[in-house]
Amino acid sequence: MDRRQFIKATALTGSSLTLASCGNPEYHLIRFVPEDRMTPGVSVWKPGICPLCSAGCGLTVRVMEGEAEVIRNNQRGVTKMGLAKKLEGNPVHPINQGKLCARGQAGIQVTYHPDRIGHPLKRAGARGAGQFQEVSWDEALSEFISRLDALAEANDQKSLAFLTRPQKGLRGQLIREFAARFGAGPPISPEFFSEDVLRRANALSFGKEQLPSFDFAESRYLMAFGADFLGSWNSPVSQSIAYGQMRQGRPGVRGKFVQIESRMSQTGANADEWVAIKPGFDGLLALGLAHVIMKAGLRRPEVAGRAGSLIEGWSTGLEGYAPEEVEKQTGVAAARIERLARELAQRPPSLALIGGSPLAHTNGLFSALAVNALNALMGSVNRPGGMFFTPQVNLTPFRAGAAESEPPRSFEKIAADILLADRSPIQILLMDSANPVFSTPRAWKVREALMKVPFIASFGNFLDETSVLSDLILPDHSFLESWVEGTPEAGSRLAVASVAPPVMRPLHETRAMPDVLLEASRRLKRPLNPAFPWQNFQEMLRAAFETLPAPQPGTSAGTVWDAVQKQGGWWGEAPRGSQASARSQTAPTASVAFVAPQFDGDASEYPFHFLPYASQAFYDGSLAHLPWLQELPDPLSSAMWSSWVEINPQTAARLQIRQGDLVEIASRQGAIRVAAFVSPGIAPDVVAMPVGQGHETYTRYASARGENPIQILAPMVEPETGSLAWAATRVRISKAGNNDGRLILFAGSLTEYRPEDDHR
Amino acid sequence: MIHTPDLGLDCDYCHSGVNRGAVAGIPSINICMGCHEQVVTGDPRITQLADYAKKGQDLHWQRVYGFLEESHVRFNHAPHVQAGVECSACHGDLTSMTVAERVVDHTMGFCVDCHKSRQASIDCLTCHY
Repeated sequence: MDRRQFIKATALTGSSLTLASCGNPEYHLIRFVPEDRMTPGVSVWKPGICPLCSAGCGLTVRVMEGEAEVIRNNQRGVTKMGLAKKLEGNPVHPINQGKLCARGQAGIQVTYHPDRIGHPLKRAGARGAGQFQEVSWDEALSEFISRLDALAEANDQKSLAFLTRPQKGLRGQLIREFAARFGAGPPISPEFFSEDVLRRANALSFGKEQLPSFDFAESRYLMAFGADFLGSWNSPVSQSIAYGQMRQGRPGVRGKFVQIESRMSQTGANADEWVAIKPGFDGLLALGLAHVIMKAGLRRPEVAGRAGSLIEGWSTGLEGYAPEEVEKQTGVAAARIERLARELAQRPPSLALIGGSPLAHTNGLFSALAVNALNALMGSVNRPGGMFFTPQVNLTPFRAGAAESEPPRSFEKIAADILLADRSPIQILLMDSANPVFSTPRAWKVREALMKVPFIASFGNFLDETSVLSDLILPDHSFLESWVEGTPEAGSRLAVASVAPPVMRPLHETRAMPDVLLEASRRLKRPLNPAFPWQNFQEMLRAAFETLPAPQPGTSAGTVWDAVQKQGGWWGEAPRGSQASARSQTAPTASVAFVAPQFDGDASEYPFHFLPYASQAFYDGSLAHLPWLQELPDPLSSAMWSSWVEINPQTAARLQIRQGDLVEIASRQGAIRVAAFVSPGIAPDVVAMPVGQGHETYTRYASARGENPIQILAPMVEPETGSLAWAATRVRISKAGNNDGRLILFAGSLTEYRPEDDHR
Repeated sequence: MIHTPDLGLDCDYCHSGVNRGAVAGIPSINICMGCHEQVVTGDPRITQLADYAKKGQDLHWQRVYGFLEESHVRFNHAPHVQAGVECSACHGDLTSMTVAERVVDHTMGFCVDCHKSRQASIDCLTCHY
């Protein structure tokens, strides 16, 4: 065969094979009649809401006709339907203004994940063994409802508990009301990166129990204590947009940005000046700066008002916080403190903010109060270029809710109570996308406690460390298949209440969790008191949104409900009288003074501070199941698909640890082994590790990959709020083995750029 | 074939995306049953069709025309239809077929000839991107 014949032959067979195999699987599957009527090849953009973190960015979702394998009437087949193809930021949404972060972009994979639970499941093996059998919705719902009925018959409604992520929207309200009307306590919302400390501080300093928003765009000087506000903290997309304005949006004016932290974050890498500080001393430094400003007469103490009066010695100019004293404990040179303080005061409008690890110490509340006082001293509260609070709209369909706003219960205490009691005080546990087995320290013994709960039902659509303990799984739709809503806490000057209808039909035999709750509430033997008036979640949302005035002029086509669905939510000035009141106008407490942070582990035996931090890709680990995010190189280390611990080069040299070597990190609570990443952006006595990997059970992509730093954390808490002080653990490190290739880097190391090298 | 010559149905009655989108679209069984609920119900082929529809199932259409993935052609029907190119120019006279056959070879020469004669762009990126 000569060349010409060969090419002819391959072209012929190749093309016929390709054509024959084109759409081949459909010959083996049933074809269902399409449920959507769409013009093929033409895309439609529909509004949505990103559920992956609490920022609540608006989405616009590209939907096109496509073919999907679905189950209809218990048969597997293919059908043509509108499929979500791409997520982008909603251009009219006030939070993210058309932008979307990498995590949000990857959110599309939640819907099409190969390990999504597509059917109700019932436990078939031992609890936790991960053996389940598929059951019908009829069977699953009957079991679910009969369990609730049995509890009501025994007059034991108190022992129903709901475990959720903190949810501010109507879904959260429905869960709270369901629990309260059934007779159970408020939902439990354990969250690893809890912001309760900052909320409490803001309630004390400013009377608003809420996360702050920032007007970076107008600011000329920004000082951030530990907050990774461009990466993962608070409302990162809205903050990144405003930060861009601050740095490049005003001709001739480029705001200066100083980041103060113990481990260089992605945000810190953007700073003009990076200040290393000893972990837990951020509040002390803030007061040192305030001392200099007041002493030099640049601001008078009384302008700080209530926020200042909370700090002991404020009115007399913070005598004990002279730069020389502060230097001894923080490790920041006195001359530098002087200079930074003067810059802060002389370049208004200036702004200080705190978030992340400084608040995860035993003195976190003090640090937050100190930075609040510093901000108040600068006159940066509710002023252009300063901090403010996003107005909250009181969106609710309940005229008078049955749920009382009880203080949330700490999961540590609940787990301890279950373990101590003969009969578990929780008889039925319902879980809605929370994973406390992964995200609480081993020392809290959450898994052991949950093993003692007689019946657990989960609404999650993935098997994770917690839902694998369930007896019954009633899988929810993905966020693209269901009604979604949310009221963002921060990130906008306008009050925002987002809402969006489903962008596509469900791919699997799943049901929206709020609809399941509403259906169950109708079928209970002893009805809820009072019963819910809505048949489904959509009706409940409509009832809530119709209490709002028409959105801004220009958008007020049709009724409020139609208009908000079309643009993806309601936003505007908070209607008078509907502004949600801050939950507790906490009365000013006695003034506070600096207290040194407490650490678990003796400094001589455990010489290093252990600093977990939010992963850019996985946040708190809840996104580790998305392969795009596994594949996303970390912005600083460029590591992917792996775990690593960041070690200072001097420390590494002393311990003879090289890049990629296996390192054992041991705390009093346990030990883990991870690859070393030698980084100049970390203090010699600190080691840092991203949270997110180390799942035992979490789909094919995340299971048994890397290590979970939360496992070895000490159960230290911030005493006022009970929040986990996740930065208060000390560790020792030692080399445990040579580089075995488990550290996967996209690029090289952080070796300094040498001008003599020719990089072009 | 009855539908087009005898009944005078236009191609886009069933291939409804052809003047709006990239692909002409394959009709779902709902389109068939729109008429055949009432019309020619006795024909065994139509009964078969009705059986499918009753079960909520669609037809397995066979693709006749199409480009290979590796040719990187992004064909878009809408501009061609809007420019007045007859369907038969590329698909042959389907009105005379009972089972659609591939009678026109979609080679690049075939496309470029027509583009030249109608003074449409022959830039590579018009079709390959």
